[in-house]
Amino acid sequence: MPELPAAGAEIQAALIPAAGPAASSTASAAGRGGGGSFTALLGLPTSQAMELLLPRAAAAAGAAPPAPAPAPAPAPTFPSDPHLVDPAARFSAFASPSPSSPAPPAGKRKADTADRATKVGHRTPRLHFHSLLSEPYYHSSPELTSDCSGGLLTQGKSAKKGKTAEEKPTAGGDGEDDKPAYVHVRARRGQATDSHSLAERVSGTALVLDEIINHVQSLQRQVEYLSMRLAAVNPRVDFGGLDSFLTTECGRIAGLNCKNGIDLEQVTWPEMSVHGARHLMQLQQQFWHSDLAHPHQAASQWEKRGDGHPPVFSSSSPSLFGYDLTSSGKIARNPTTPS
Amino acid sequence: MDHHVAVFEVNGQEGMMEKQQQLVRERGRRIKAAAELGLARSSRGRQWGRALGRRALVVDRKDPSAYPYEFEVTSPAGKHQVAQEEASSPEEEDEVVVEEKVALLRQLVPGSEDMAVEGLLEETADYIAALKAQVGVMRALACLLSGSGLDALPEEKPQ
Repeated sequence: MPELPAAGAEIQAALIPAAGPAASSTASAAGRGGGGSFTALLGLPTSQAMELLLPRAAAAAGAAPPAPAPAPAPAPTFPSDPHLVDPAARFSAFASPSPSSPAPPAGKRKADTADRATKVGHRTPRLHFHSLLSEPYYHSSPELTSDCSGGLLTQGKSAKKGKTAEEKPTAGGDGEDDKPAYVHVRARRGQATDSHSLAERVSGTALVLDEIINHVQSLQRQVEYLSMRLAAVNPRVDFGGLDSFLTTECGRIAGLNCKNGIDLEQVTWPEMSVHGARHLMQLQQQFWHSDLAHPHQAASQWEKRGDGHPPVFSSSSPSLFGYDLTSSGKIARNPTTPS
Repeated sequence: MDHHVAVFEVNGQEGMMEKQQQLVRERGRRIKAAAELGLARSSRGRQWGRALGRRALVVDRKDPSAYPYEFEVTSPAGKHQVAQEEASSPEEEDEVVVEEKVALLRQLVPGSEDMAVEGLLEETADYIAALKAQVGVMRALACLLSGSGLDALPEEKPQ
């Protein structure tokens, strides 16, 4: 079984980063089942998972799984907690090797397991390796012998409602060596009770939602980080290349505010060249804030800042900002400008 | 005389550093508020955009140091515990887990508290797209303003 150690290493490699950030969130669900290895296996194609599970279980089951897992049990326990799985990490580890090497020995493995679990054969056609955002990360896995550990009944998202009724009888029939309709992996020896198996069931929906939540959170964190970075960067800015920038990025955003009747040409952009980017940001913030809160008072805000009156600038260039950077210096020096 | 001057300058510098840091933080908050407003403006009238605009105004006026993202994330932890204990007996933990995540998502996406799940997912998709655009703009801005050509588009993790 040459593929086994490689696959095992893959699982470990994928799990270690995955379990790190997720470990803290597994506390509440850890009681349901412990270790981290199985969830990685669930992302594999069935054949690959099978060959990994069976020999591994027979061999040193304790070697691979407990490395990243917070499981208390020495035997490899397979968790049902979707938090333990970082789909991104998992897929990056498994995406490439999945179709290639496990394919040939899969036939052998399936033959082996078919001896132990009668229904493996007709189960496998149902199992595919779905994409990241489609339903089953998890699918039925071959039943392990009592040597194995791990326990997870899996179900696709579409059958979520129906599976409770469907799986209960099968889960209830799980003696350690039974051959239920579903092949599954057990959490612990002798714990294949109804409630336990069901307790470890994981829904594809939860995984998808988890991914969505992580994405949103990471984006929000990036916004926060970038805003801090912009704040730190601002004082040293050089406005040499800002002309084109304003007409594209800023201009587009600021242009959206024109709907409320605020004339951008009245904005005192000349101040920028004198006072720097800090002013730019303040201008924008005030602009946006006033825009949303009091569209009619925006003009007064500009005046409050001592910017000079609109008519002074209405005659300037017809560009979006009504302002020409090169000639700003002449205008800016006239009005009393606060720093 | 030199000693006195030196000591004074050191103290002054330390104080200035703190003040500068405070200024930077404050400025960062304002920038973030402005970014949120920009995001809200570009939302084309979606629910999350309107809610974000309303929330940004409230936060900015009342409590400039409020960080809306942080306490949103921590609160579902308590709910998770309670919900889990309640649902473990009926053995419907799957749905409970899903519900918890939906609740968490509701907190992340502004203005989605009263929406149905389907609408929530749609809003989330739009919100994610807008956030991505926002991040892109801010990165470009940071790169441009930093002047040194810092990497404005760092490698995103493969997703």
